[in-house]
Amino acid sequence: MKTLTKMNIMKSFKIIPDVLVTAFFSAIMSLFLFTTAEAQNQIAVPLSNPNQSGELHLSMIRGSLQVSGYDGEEVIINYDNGQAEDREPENEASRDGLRRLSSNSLGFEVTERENRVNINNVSPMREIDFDIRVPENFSMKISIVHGNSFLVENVNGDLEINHVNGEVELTNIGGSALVNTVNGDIKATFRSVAEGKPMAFSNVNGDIDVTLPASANLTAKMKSEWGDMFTDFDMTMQQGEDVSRGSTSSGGYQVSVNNWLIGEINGGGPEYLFKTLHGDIYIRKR
Amino acid sequence: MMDETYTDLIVGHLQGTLTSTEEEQFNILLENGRIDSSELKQLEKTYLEMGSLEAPELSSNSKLHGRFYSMLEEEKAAQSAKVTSLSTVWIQRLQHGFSQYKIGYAAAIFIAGLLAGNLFDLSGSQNQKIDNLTTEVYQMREIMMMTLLENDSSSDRLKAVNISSELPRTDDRVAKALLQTLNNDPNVNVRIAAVDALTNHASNPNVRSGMIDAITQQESPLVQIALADAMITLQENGAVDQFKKLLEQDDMNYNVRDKIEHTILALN
Repeated sequence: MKTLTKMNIMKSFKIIPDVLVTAFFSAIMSLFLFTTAEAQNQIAVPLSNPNQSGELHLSMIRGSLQVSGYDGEEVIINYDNGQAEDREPENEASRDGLRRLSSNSLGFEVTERENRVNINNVSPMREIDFDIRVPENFSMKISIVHGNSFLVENVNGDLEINHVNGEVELTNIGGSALVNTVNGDIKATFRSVAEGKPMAFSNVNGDIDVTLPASANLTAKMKSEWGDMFTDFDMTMQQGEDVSRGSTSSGGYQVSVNNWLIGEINGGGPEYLFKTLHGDIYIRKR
Repeated sequence: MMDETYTDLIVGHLQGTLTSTEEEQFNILLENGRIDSSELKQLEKTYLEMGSLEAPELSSNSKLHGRFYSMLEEEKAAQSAKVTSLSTVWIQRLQHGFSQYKIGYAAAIFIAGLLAGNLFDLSGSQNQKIDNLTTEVYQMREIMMMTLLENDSSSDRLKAVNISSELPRTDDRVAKALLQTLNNDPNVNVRIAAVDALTNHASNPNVRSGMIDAITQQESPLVQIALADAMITLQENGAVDQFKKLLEQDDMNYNVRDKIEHTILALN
């Protein structure tokens, strides 16, 4: 948005240089307005037991989310809920001469208990963009319905991501992850994996692209109904039966049931589930 | 060397047993040189010397014979005496050396051995022990599974569902717990895994009906798809009505709708 305003300045500079001063002032004004509306509000949540691992629980309907691990002891929540008030007609300042009382202007609520940070009651009517910093050893349980963007990076813990419309991106993760989304790719890169913990990645439309450490022990259980599966790991396949069943009563219609493809990587280990309907599955060696 | 065919003639000549015709023949051969005269002379000489050889006396011969047999008899007697002494020693030892107590002990140890062998018999009680151990392991796994299923961590619950595939498929409690997970677990991936695990328990009619009932209860398209896959694998025609009910929803994902329609066709 800020760059956009700057471009406005540039344009006005080129096209009507004689009203430069006016344009400059209006630009300053709009900049001011934008910054207030877009104000990156910040909430710092201190932990009960700093230097110990923690958990973040967040459930939201629409917006974007970025969670990054950092070298610190607090959970820092940067949020932006500015645009919502303009869009919602209920948020009139006054009606019939009555002043509107400010309701929950924040649009959500934050609690902390025993290193577990909950972001609750996120308003379903608002689009909130979160940029959250957490100490590195943090697990999280996040559920989101409409995501403009979704990124979790540089954390070490168990991640549970429940998405519906949007892609999920996990970068430089240590630990384990259970990810599901309906419409959107799943892209995950692990710097290390938790020993003995199963993982799961499933979606309906979109690719599943998971990068694992070369030494990871796992048993991959894969299924893509309409897509293909690729890997650069040495995989020992347990079974590769494709069962085809025809339905004769409905005029020669045929559906093929490709059962699970099960492959052991580095001698096998906990089960990693990869399931998609329309999409390819990539299991990459880091 | 003289021809051997004339040997008889020569011998006869030397012994003087030849007939007149043979004698004539001999003389002709001698004259012809067929029989060498010098050789004949040598033979004659040898014959005469043989005749003068002293024959051993018969009396000394019988004496020797007698001595041999007497020695043989002596030796025989000595041998048999040795054998009898040995066998009697053995019998004596058996009679005195091994007392009745000792024989009793031996018998007791033998019987004890038989009993012990019976106790550790592989085909019998050992197998039962292994069976007991196996059921104990199953019980422990089941307890572990149930405990993990109660956990707050979805990762643990997923682990629990995965453990269930190592348990006997006849276990009602496991099937019940999996059905509960399918209907109530907050995590979609855990529910997907539960659908797959339940497919293994499909011989249980409660599991089948539970899975069919779950079709319309599931809001997640991912679980709906998983159930559709399971129903095709199980060729469960009873699920068709539930899938049709599912299609009545308006806000259904296009791809999921497509998948469900295909499933209905495949099951019909």
